Amino acid sequence: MGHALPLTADGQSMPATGQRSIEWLGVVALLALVGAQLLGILTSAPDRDMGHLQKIMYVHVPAAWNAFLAFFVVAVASLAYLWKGQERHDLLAASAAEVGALFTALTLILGSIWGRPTWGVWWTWDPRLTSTAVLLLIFVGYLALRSFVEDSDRRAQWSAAVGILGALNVPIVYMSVRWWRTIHQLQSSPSTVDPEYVTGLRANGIAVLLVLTYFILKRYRAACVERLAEQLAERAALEGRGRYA
Amino acid sequence: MPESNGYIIAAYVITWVMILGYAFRLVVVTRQARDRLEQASRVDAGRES
Repeated sequence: MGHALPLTADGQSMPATGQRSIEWLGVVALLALVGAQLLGILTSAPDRDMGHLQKIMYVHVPAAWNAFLAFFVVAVASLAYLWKGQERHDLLAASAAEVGALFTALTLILGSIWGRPTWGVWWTWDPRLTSTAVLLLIFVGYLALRSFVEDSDRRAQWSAAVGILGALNVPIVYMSVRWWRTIHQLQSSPSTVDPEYVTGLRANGIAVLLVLTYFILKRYRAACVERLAEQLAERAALEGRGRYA
Repeated sequence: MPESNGYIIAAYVITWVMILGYAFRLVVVTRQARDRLEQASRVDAGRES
């Protein structure tokens, strides 16, 4: 345990006001999501080809964008951990990985629901779908790895390596619709969708970003408390052995 | 396109189930972490054997 106490200092330095701010962010995120979804559902006309199915875009695309963003946080925090060796970076990466996996799973499920009436299948081994499934599997593996390794230093180092390698898959997923033949449409963004849908898409993107931020901060805070408890338990165990040996 | 309504409703319901489900998980994880910290603090302070 080369750097056990810096995290303890971090954990103790989080004031109650920080907790309240996070809870307020959660309320704002929830209201923003309800408002953005209503905006998207109620104001957009049916698409010429897909009809009302287009409305699935307002949940599917923001989920995908924000999953990518979460994995970007994993990569940056993992690099920061390997560079500086501070546990708070490892805990931030783990928190972002868990939330990123949630949004990737949601992206795949929503894509499957959208694919059934438009492509006629729930699933196909298309490059975009397959690379997204691989991305999810990598981060499920990342989370499994963290639960198997007990030594905190080793856990953090191995997780950082897997997190960086996993995040490298994000550009592949993003570009897969351009690099390979695929039935998936090109990347949806405000510059590629019909101007009528841009406001709804942006609003939902921002609302899901608020939800993502809330989830990561809340999970990070819990992870800091978990780690602090782990450190205290380890210290008590070591002192106990010393006393009774 | 009324036949598509089921897919749209399913997409939004699943989105909310997953988001609220994870929010609930965070509440549970936070509570468990606080309990563990409280217990570890008591042990650390020597009030428990």
